[in-house]
Amino acid sequence: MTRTPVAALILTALALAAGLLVEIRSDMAAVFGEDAAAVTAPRAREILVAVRSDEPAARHAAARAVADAMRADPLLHELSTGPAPPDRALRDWLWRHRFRLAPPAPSDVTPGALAARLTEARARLTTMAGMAVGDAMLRDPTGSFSRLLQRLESAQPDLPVEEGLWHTPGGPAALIRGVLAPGTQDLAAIRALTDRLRSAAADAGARAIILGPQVVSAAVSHRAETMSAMVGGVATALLLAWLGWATGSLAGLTRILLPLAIGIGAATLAVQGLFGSVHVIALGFGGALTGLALDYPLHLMTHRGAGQARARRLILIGAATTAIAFLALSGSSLDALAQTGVFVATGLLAAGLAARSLLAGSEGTLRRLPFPHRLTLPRQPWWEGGLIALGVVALMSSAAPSAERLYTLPAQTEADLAEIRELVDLPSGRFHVVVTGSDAEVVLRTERALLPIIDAQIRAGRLVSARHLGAILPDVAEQEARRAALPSAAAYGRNAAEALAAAGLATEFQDALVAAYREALAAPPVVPADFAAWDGLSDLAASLEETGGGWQSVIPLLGLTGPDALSRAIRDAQIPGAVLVDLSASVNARLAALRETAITWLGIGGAGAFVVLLLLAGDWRRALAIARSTAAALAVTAMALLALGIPLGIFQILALTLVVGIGIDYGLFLRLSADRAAAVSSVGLCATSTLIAFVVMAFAPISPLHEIGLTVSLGVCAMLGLHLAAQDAQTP
Amino acid sequence: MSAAAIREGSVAYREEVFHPALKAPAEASGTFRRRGNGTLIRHQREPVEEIAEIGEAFIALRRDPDEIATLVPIPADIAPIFALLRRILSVGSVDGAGLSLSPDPGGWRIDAGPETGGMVLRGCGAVLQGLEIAEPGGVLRRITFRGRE
Repeated sequence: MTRTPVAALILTALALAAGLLVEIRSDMAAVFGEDAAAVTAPRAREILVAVRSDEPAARHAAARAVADAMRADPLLHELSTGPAPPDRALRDWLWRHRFRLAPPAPSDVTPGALAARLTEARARLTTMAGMAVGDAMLRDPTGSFSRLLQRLESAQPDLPVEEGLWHTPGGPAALIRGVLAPGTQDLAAIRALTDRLRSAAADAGARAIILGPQVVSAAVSHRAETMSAMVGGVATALLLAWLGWATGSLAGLTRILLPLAIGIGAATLAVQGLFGSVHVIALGFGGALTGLALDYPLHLMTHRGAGQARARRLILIGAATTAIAFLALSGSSLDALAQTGVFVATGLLAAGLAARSLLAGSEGTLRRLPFPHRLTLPRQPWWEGGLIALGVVALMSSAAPSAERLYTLPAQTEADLAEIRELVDLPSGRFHVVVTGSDAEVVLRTERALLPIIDAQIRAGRLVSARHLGAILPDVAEQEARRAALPSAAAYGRNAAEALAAAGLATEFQDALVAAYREALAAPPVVPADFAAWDGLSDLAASLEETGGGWQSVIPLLGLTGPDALSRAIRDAQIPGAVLVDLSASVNARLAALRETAITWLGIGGAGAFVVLLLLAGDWRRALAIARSTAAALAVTAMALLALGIPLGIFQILALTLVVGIGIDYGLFLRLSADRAAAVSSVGLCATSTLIAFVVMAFAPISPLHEIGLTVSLGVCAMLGLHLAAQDAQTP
Repeated sequence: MSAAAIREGSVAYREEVFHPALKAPAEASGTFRRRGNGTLIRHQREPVEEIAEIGEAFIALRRDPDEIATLVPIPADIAPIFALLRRILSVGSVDGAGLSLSPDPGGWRIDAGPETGGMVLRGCGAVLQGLEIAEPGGVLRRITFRGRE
């Protein structure tokens, strides 16, 4: 009886250590890898906030309050709320570099062309625009500066403006665009940010609709967490009630739960020690899979005397076998998988050892339940062989599920998406042109090569616009080539003098024109980093990013209606480094890769587990039979899932691995226990406990929980059926 | 031109723009009107029609009264000129506006300081007769008010 307080003390120490040391992560890089462009690209980090109120003053005030909150938040990398006129310093910089950014063609510097522009510039002097740029128009009759300003203006979003704020065409919402800082993948932090922004809008009497890939991910994740907590709460309550009834005492219930709690505590600390943090996926999945350890006390408390000594050995074999299978996942390069492997392996072994120590020598105190002692399945080995073969074929022919199956959009997010789509055309969240290159200049050159293709799509009505840096900034080689094609200052001066006379202007102004021309010719090359320094240009520069192995830009596509035509046009033009990316397909490909990784490592782990089973079971024929029945039940479960229209994705694969652990556990006891009746009773108790938890999960309204619950429930039934039908068990 | 005049109706103006490239100043004419919401309407009729509604941060531009306005942000360096102009036209007096007053053959001159790009107001007594705005590049705008329309 003194062992329970000791175990409780160990658990308390583990809990304290975990509370002090463990750092929880929820980033997606742990799932998709650090180079996951789909989740790290600037466009995937965009946030769009629509501030709605029918009262204009409240709407404007709320939009400014939200913008202030975003500006002050370290999670935000960029922010734009409305058209930003170039200030004097930017205009001066653009003026000096106009021949780099928008050099004139030879036809622009003929006396006739210069005279025409001088005449036009003179007329514009008396207009409002003339106040800002009239002098510049007269000093640069090549049209270079004018074209540059027009390009910058056309690069701005084509949206109505109220009080300096972009608005939806209908007017009821102000729009704010933000970009999260590179590397921002903490969904909990993103959700906290959206909560703050909604509060800022509400305090000012308006409503904020916030969308963006990461924002939607955060909402989906939050809903999953909420539903998991609810389902977990119901399942835990039912399970405790069931186990309480089975043990008949609080002390008995405590002794059942302590090993599992110790296992989870030890597993959490082991993952923290090895990886420096614990990912929520490892915690969630690992915790659920380690739930298998709940079976160990049930076995020990059901068996008596010599039977319990045998049960202690079988528990160790079961824990070691399943631990080896999961430990193989630690070979994966994906942190979430590797952590899950270490978590389950450590958790099962720690829980197994804790159960053996805590319950050693204790008499069986659990209720015996009237489970059937044996089912009948004639020619069981042949049936099982056939099922395994069918299962392998089914598994190999099944495709990875699409990402859409992984999440269910919360109703509020669905409503927000529908509302914002009614208000404004959004850039495609699915299709982007991605340009990659060894350096920024290569990327710019490729973007320039894409210009005629994009223009053709816009002319054909298949695209509204595609905003990108290359539309304004040529690469340095192109800048040099175009500058070299310009006439000398002396030749320009002669043309300018002729043009001034033809336009009826003062010919002595020729010196000022030549001086401005010389200054523009002497300007140094412009590179993307130069754009980053200016408020009005920095978002264009931000679309170009250095990645692990080079540079990349992501071009957003507004109003894209013909992705196939654009993709074909890019392919036909054979522009290296440019590709139309279907973000959805990219995520699906990564999920498929994740699934393949999990299957590969679990396959290796399964082989290791089989070797451990053969070595430790002490009876190779029965070990082989346990493996055969387990594999057959696994195949039955997989085929049942496929028949129900549930593809075998990463969640199902991990759930099936738990089913394998359960199957080995049942097989060991039903085939190798010295006390058949006790074994049937303890396996029945274990199966009922597992079913209580996972059947509740199967009724969850979100896809992953529902499918995991269904997978384990079906798997438990299949394992129980085939192992109970075993004819090679110990004599009852 | 008094603020009351602007509030009550349109005030005609004539504008001359001096530039080193020009042999003679470019000329324009039209009216000013102030709306109740604080914006100033500059309706240029010659040489080309242009209607500008000058707000705090934006100018809404139209080529004729029926056209949909194009909203142009006011560049930061020009904004003080418009802000000062709107302020003076709103209060109808330069008294207490922190501006320096100096004698002028035409009455008095008020230098609005360097932050306005060198804007000078001309007048006699309580009547604002015109204003001059010196811009970079040797550009000078001279606007003369010609009374109510």
